[in-house]
Amino acid sequence: MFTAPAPRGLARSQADLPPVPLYRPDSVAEAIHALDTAPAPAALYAGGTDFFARLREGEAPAALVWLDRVQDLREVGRDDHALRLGALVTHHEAFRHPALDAVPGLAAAWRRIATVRIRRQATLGGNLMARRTRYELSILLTALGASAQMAGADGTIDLPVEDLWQADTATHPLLVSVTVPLEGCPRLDYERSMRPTFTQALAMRDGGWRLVVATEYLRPWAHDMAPGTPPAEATAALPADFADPAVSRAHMVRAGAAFLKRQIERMEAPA
Amino acid sequence: MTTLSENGKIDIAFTLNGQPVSRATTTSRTLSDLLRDDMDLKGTRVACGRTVCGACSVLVDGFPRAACSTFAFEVEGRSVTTIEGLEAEDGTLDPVQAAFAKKSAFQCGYCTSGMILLARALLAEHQRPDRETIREWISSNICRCTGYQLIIEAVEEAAETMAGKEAAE
Ligand SMILES: Cc1cc2nc3c(=O)[nH]c(=O)nc-3n(C[C@H](O)[C@H](O)[C@H](O)COP(=O)(O)OP(=O)(O)OC[C@H]3O[C@@H](n4cnc5c(N)ncnc54)[C@H](O)[C@@H]3O)c2cc1C
Repeated sequence: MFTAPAPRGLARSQADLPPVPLYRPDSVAEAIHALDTAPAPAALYAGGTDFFARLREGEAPAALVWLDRVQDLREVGRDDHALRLGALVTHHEAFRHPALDAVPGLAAAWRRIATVRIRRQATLGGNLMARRTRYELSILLTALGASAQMAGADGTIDLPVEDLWQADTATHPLLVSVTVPLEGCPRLDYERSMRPTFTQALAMRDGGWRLVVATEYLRPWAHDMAPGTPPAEATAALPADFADPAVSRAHMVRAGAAFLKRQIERMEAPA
Repeated sequence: MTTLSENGKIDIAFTLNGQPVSRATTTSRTLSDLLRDDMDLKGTRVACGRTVCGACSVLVDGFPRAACSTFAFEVEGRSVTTIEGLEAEDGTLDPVQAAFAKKSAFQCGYCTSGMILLARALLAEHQRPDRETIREWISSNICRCTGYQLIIEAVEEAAETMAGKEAAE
């Protein structure tokens, strides 16, 4: 359901942030320790491309934990079962990494996110943990059934990426990595031509397809379906209240079905 | 783990326009405030204050970053170039600056320093960029006067000048 954003606060700026303690951990364990011992609330700082907007919106951290030295968060790799992406990987590093070949279509979709200047600075972790509906990695990774590895003082837990929206990050605040399962040879197509009104990702795996629809203001909606499901039937499953002031449900059902037909054709076309 | 600051005060040292500098500052100071207010380098223009428009772009180790949304502590040990650092000591303009002037690639001029530095980084990575590449890079920053066409032409002009210079050397 659409909830109107709060009216903008009057001209808060980064200059309103007082000087605060600053920690630079070298490992995941040190980052967790810093969060636990720093004056509360402590904020994680990665690329900073979203962070300053948050300050302007009223976030007021009492300490900063700067993640840039945590090498474990930068790892990208794959084996036969999974593609693993460290939280500190930038968009630029991600879409150029050969490991992404494991999921055809993922690098091409990722490459279209943001701009040349932002892509070198903005990270996967910040994109997901900012939890803003207009950011797109949650859409792509939800379509691919990815899970998030969240670290806390008592170890690491696995959460489906789609659950990050409502996850209570108090006990496990640090996103370490995201894992995309490779069973069933997943591939992805992302339709972005209507952005920001709405976008649509389709992931195909042997034995199952997953459609994800998202708008600028609504959390991604995911729908699992059998291969060969008619596009109109798939988009007709959108929840009754899936609409916002910029786009109606009826439009997403109709236009989404047309996009989906094209997405299926593109993905089924011989390489 | 390094505790860089317990009380919000921090000393930083970096290279600014080719010269080593050091400053006592705070952990919440942005690079744009440090440059403009503490070092009197007013060529870095702040507009949106949230990374988006790129008017305040400076080069950090050769790549553009929005100075309004970069903490001063992040440039410790790194090399920062502002628009003031492009001109030669004898006042000769950098080829990108000269091309912007020749093509009048500005209207109000507010985005110009950021655009010139963005173009500098583009030409460091692509010596003869095609239009699509120029567009892709230039769309990182916003020109509210929408003077993009002349900016694109200026980048092409600068690329030609720089390629000609290189061939002559
Ligand atoms: C001009 C511009 C254009 C953009 N265009 C697009 C676009 O087209 N599509 C799109 O999807 N996005 C877009 N973005 C958003 C961009 O991708 C995000 O801002 C970026 O990914 C955030 O990453 P960061 O490292 O900068 O995060 P930061 O700003 O450092 O942090 C953001 C938030 O995430 C938290 N955080 C960061 N890392 C972690 C971690 N490892 N664990 C837990 N919490 C963490 C921080 O505490 C903070 O709350 C754009 C942004 C800008 C400024």
